[in-house]
Amino acid sequence: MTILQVENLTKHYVTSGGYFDGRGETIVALDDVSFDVRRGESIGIVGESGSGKSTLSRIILGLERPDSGRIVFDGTDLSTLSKRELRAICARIQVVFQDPYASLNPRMSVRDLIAEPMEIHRDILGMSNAQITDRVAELLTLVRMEEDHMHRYPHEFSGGQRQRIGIARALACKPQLIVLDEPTSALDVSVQAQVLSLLIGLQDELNLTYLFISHDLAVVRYLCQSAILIRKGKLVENAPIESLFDAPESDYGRMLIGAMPDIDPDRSPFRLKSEA
Amino acid sequence: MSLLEINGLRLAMRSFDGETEVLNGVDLAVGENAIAGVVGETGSGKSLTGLSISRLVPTPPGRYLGGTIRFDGQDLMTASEEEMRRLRGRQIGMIFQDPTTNLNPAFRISTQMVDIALNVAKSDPELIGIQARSSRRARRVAARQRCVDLLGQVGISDPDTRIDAYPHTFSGGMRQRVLIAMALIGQPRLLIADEPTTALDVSVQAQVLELMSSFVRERDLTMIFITHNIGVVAQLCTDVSVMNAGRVVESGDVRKVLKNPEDSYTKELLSAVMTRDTPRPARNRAAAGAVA
Repeated sequence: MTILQVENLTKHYVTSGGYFDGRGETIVALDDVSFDVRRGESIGIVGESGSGKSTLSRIILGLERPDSGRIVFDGTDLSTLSKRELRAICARIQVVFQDPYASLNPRMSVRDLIAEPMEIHRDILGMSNAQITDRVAELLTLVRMEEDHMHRYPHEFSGGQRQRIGIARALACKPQLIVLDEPTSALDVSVQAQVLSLLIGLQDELNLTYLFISHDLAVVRYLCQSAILIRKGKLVENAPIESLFDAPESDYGRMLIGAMPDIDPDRSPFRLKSEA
Repeated sequence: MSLLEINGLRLAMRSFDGETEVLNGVDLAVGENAIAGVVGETGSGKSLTGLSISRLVPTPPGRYLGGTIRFDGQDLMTASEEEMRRLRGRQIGMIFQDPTTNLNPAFRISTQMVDIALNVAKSDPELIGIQARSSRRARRVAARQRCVDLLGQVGISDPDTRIDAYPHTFSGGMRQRVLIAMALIGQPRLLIADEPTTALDVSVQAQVLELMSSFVRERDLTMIFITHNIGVVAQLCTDVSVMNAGRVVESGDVRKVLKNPEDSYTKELLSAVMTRDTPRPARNRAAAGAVA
C-alpha cells in the first residue's frame, strides 16, 4: 500500500545574482521528480552534493513549497491543506538529521529535547506534562537508553547516543514516515552498525516507513528495499535494491556503484595500476 | 630503511578533569615510497599522531611524555622550532580534511599559493627555477609559473586564469586539488594527508585518490594517509596501521592486515564495515506481505 506519492515535483531557486548586475540565475533543484513509497518500506534517496536530495526532503517535510507537482501523503494532497491542517499532518512525518552534534540544543535536557515535538503538537496529542515525561521514558527505552538519562544534557553523550536521542525525538509523535537525512554519516563504523540495527528493529516493531537519504550506497543497500538515484535534480533511476546493484540501468548508477570503495585490496583500480 | 620511525610516542592532553594520555606508546614505521594508511575510530589518536610528526600539537595543552619520532634519521622531538619550520612544507607536507576551512576565502588562490612558493624559494631557489640572486620580480613570476604548472598537474583546467579566482568559485573536489597542489609546491618527501577525501562525494573521492596514487608513483614521495574509511585504505595504501585508544594495535602489509587480521579489534572493525557484499538483515515484521 502506498503511503507517499511524489508527483512531478519541480523546484527552482533563483540566486541573488551578481554583486553589480543584480540579475539572478535560475537553479533547477528538482526537475519533474515522481516516485511512490509503500508503507513499511525503506526507500533510499541517493545523490551527490547539489543533486537536490535535500530539497526533496525539505519539500516532503513541508519546509518548502514546490513550484509545481504534488505530494500525496496517506491519501491527502499536502498542497491543498491549510496551514493548520499541514501542521497536524507534520506530526506524522518526522525527521532525523545528519549531525547529532549540531541538531540537539546543548542547553536543553534530554527530557525537554524529546518532549519538544509533543509540546509543539500538544493540541493534537492532548498530553499532560506527566504523560509527556512518561512517554519520554518509554521512548528512551525504545532506543535502548536508560530512563534516567532524561535528566542529562547532550554533551554527556557520545555521537551514537546523541543520534539515538535524535531518533527518540523523531518517534515522539508516533509518526508513520521518517525522513532519515544521512543519520549515520557522522558516526564511526562500529556505531553506525548499532544505529542501523536499531533503525531496522524500530521499523519492524512500529511498522515505520523510512525515506533514507544518503550517498553511501552500501548503507542504502543494507537498509532499503529500493532506491532512487537523483542527479542534478532529475530522477535517473528508480529500482529495487537487488536489481540496482546487479544490473544498474543508468550510467550514473553504474558510476556510483563503481566508485564505492571496496575493502578488498585486490579489487583496487589504483593498486593494479601501480603494481603493473 | 624507514623514512619515518615513531617509537613509543606518548602524548597527554590537559583538560578540566586533569591530564589524559591520548597517545600511549605509538609505534609506526613508514618506508620510502610507501603509502601508509592509518585507520581508527574517532578519538583513537590517528590525527594527533599525524600532527605530532610535523610537531603541530600545541604544548600546552599537550605534553609529550616520551618516545621518539625520527624523520630521515633526524629526531623531530628534540628539533628546534626553527628547524621544524624548515621541514614543514619543504620536507613534510600536509593536507587536511576540510578544503573549505583551509583556504582563506579573502584571498585569491594565486596569492595563497605564490606566498608558499616564495617562502620555499627562500631556502631552495632552484625549486621554482631561479637563482638565489634573482630580482624580486623574477622570483614572483617564477613562483607563479610553478603554481600554475602544479594546478595543471592536479587536473585544474585553464590554470593560468583559474589561479586568480577566489576559493568560493571552486567546488569541493577542486579545492582539495588546490590543497594538494599547495602541499606539493615544496616537493616534500613525506606527505601527511589527514582525511583528505572525507568531505567529498564518492565519485570525486575516486578522482582525488587516483590523483594522489599517481603522484606517489611518479614522484619520489612517501605518504601517510589518515582516514577512518577502510575502503579507501584498501584501494590506495601499501601498508596499514590500525589504531585504537592511542596505540597501534596492528600494522603491516595492507593485504595481510585486511585479509587476515590477527588483532581482535581489527577483526571487529573490519566486520562493522558495510560493503556491497554485506548480508542484508533478516526482516521480521507484521506487514511482511507488503514487502515484495
